Amino acid sequence: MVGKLPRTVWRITLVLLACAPVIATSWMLTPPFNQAANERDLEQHLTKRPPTPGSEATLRQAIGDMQHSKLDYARLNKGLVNFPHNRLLRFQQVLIPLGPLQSLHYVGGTPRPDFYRVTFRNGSQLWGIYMGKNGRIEGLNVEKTPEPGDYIDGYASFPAGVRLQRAAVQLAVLLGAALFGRSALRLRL
Amino acid sequence: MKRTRFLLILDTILFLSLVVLMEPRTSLTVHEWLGIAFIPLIVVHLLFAWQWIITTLARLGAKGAWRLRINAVLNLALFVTFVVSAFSGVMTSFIALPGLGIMSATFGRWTLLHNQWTVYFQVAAGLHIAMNWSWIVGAVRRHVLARPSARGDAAIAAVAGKAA
Repeated sequence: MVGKLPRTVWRITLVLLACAPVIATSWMLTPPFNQAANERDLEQHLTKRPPTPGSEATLRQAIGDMQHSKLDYARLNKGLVNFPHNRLLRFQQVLIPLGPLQSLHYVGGTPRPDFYRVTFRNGSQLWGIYMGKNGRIEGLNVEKTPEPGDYIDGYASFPAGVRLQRAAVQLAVLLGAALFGRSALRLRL
Repeated sequence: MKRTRFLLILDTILFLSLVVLMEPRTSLTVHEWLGIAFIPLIVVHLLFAWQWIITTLARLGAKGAWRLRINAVLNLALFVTFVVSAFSGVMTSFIALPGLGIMSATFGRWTLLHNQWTVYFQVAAGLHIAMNWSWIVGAVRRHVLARPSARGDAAIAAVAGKAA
């Protein structure tokens, strides 16, 4: 029993030592976060389909409202009714230094949102807007360097049913990989 | 046999934790604290597999030990993906670490790393389950169903480093 403790400590030390080069290598191989490159990459993957009718005017209005701290919650769809106030504040923090809105240029869309290059007096941003069938805003986002609050609010906005559904998908992926390894790759001890 | 029973419980906890961890939208707070708790559990799992690691390393050069080599590479991949996922996860902690007064200044880069490597980790974990399927079935048959099988017991012995 007495001999076991130093042996365990020695083994844990070995495990931790093995972690160090893994962490250092992965860090060195990962490029720094580059907002401009992310936006270029996203723009390249957008489909050149026509924009949803009304999305440009709605986005223009929403940006103007947020810059003046008066987002019209009646324009938001059911899923965004609980649009977190601190998220709005973060949008504002980004929008206000950019100055007045000058132009919106539609750059393409994914199956759901339309993306616009929004030019302000002091810079430009890539905004995504998803319109509901009732003409209200279903989703609204700006491509920017993520902040902790974006994740916290974003994750918190998922309904319980969706969370369970997504956890079930993860379980299926895990078991799918196991099944693939067992049957296709014939992994054995 | 106490060892196998303990490992079965530990691995069941690890499996269920992994499913929850893979979907942070279940709850970011749970994701972060569970992720931190996951690290020592993996270290314990590794300590219990120590004999297998030693036996495998000693036999890697043996003629015809290709299956052993594949398993060693898979386990190494699992270890690497786990280390990167866990460390980058800790570095991008939005709730747990800031709650302890620690804040990462470069979380954008760590987030990229975390998002990429957790996918690799998930696949590697799935393949690890595939590799150890006989052990899982053997341990469940012996300790849960009380209907041990020769094949299952052989897998238990193999993981304990007592057989090839």
